[in-house]
Amino acid sequence: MSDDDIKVSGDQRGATGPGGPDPALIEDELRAAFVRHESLTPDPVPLRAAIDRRAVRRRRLRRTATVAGAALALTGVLALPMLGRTVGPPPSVPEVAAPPPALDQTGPAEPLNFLVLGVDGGGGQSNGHRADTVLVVHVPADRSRLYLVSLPRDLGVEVPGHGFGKLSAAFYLGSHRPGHRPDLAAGAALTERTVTALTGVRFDATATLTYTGLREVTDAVGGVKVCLPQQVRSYHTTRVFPAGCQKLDGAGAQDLLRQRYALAQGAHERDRNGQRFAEALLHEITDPASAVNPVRVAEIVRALGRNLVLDLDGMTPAELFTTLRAVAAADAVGIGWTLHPDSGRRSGMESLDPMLSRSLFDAFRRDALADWVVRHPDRVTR
Amino acid sequence: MTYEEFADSRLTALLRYAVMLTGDPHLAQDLVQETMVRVQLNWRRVTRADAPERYVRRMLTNQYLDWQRGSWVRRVLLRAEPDEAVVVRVDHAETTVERDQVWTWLARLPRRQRAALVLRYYEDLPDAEIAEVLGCAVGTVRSAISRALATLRAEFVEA
Repeated sequence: MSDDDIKVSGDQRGATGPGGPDPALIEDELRAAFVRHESLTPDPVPLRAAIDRRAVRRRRLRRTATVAGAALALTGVLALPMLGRTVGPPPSVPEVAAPPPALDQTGPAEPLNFLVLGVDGGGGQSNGHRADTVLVVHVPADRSRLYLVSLPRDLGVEVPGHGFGKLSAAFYLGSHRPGHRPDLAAGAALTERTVTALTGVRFDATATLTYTGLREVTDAVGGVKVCLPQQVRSYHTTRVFPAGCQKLDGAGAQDLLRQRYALAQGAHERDRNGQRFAEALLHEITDPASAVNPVRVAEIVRALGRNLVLDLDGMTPAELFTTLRAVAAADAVGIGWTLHPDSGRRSGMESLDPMLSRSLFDAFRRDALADWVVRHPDRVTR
Repeated sequence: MTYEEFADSRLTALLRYAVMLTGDPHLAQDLVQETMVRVQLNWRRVTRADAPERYVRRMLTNQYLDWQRGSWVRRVLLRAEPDEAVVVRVDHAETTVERDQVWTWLARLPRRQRAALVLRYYEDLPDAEIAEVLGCAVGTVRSAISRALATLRAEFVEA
């Protein structure tokens, strides 16, 4: 490596000990052995290309993780023009109201936890809404980065007041009102209480987006280009989404993101497709060519209507937006699950590794995720 | 200095160093690849170091020392993918050097001791710099090297 460096003589150093050959001889043997084996050095040219390819891939992975955070930032962006307007009814469940987040400019910031829900159904269908995507987002007090944990939709949980069921069903149980339109805010509130009961984490804000909202946003931005690692065949429309990149309109996006039965890893793979989509969507919206185009933003907001429900719990959208913009600059850390081996104890439900989830949620509460991540590097899906 | 300039000028030297550490061209390649990907992704932090080259050598050495059994296995599995069209140039010299006894003995040393030997007898670094690369005290470097040399000398006697 240092052909032209000045050689430092090591002959006088090294081991001294009784018996055996002269230490200097061993040192010479060593030097000679190293030099002889220089011929094993592989060709750097193909390696150079491999490094670049892998760096691109890893950068992309990193961005995928930022994405779920970005999805939240997106709701922040969308919330901005709604300033001064109340979005969704006020939280109907006062007993879980978290302490108002201290966004005092002078004092130290409080850690924040958000719950982001992706909801199916809607569009006037009678089968009600279920939360397909349940994402817990943590912003530490030092605002260094976002931590994202996606909870499995089929997780078996105790739904307050409704007994044991799937996590996704909590939204239905909360929002369902026979003979009336489902109350999305109430669904979000019950899901929030369920997650709080499970994890002990209190949330400072909850954002809910429906598939209809997703479709309309997609159309509003003129379609979104999504890249898939493998082909996906729609169970619902038999449409085939080939592997590779393709531009999807709202209907296509909705169709793709509903698929899970045909995917190797079911809902977990769909979560990843959702992240891929959100990444692409955010890309469209923040495209420098159109980024701060107020007409476009207004159009998107109009498109969302009741399909985006925000429960900011006292925080203003502007505060949320400011916080998120600050944090979004850093890389997000995604935390993944391996499901507990005795999952399937009750039909079709999953459970979390009890030890792991206890320590994880404890870290959420204590704002100690940075430590947790260091201790569990294998859980980082980044 | 850009990442490209750094890679242009230092990649071969890093590969040689990795070969000396691992004793194996494939592992050396993996080690350098993993390190350089991280170098590329964190290039700004690398350039902020006083001596980027030394910083990278330290990254690579740590990577080598930290390769736990688990990640080692994963690495081997990754290798099994017909991925990354990297062809290792196998010299005829390899067959000769495989019979090389010193090389075989080196492979049995603990990684930290081997790294210390490579840094002193291949990279010709002074002990203070070796200590910096290995992240330990100078005394620790010296004792590691003398223990390694004692082991090698014992092998010599037996052989």
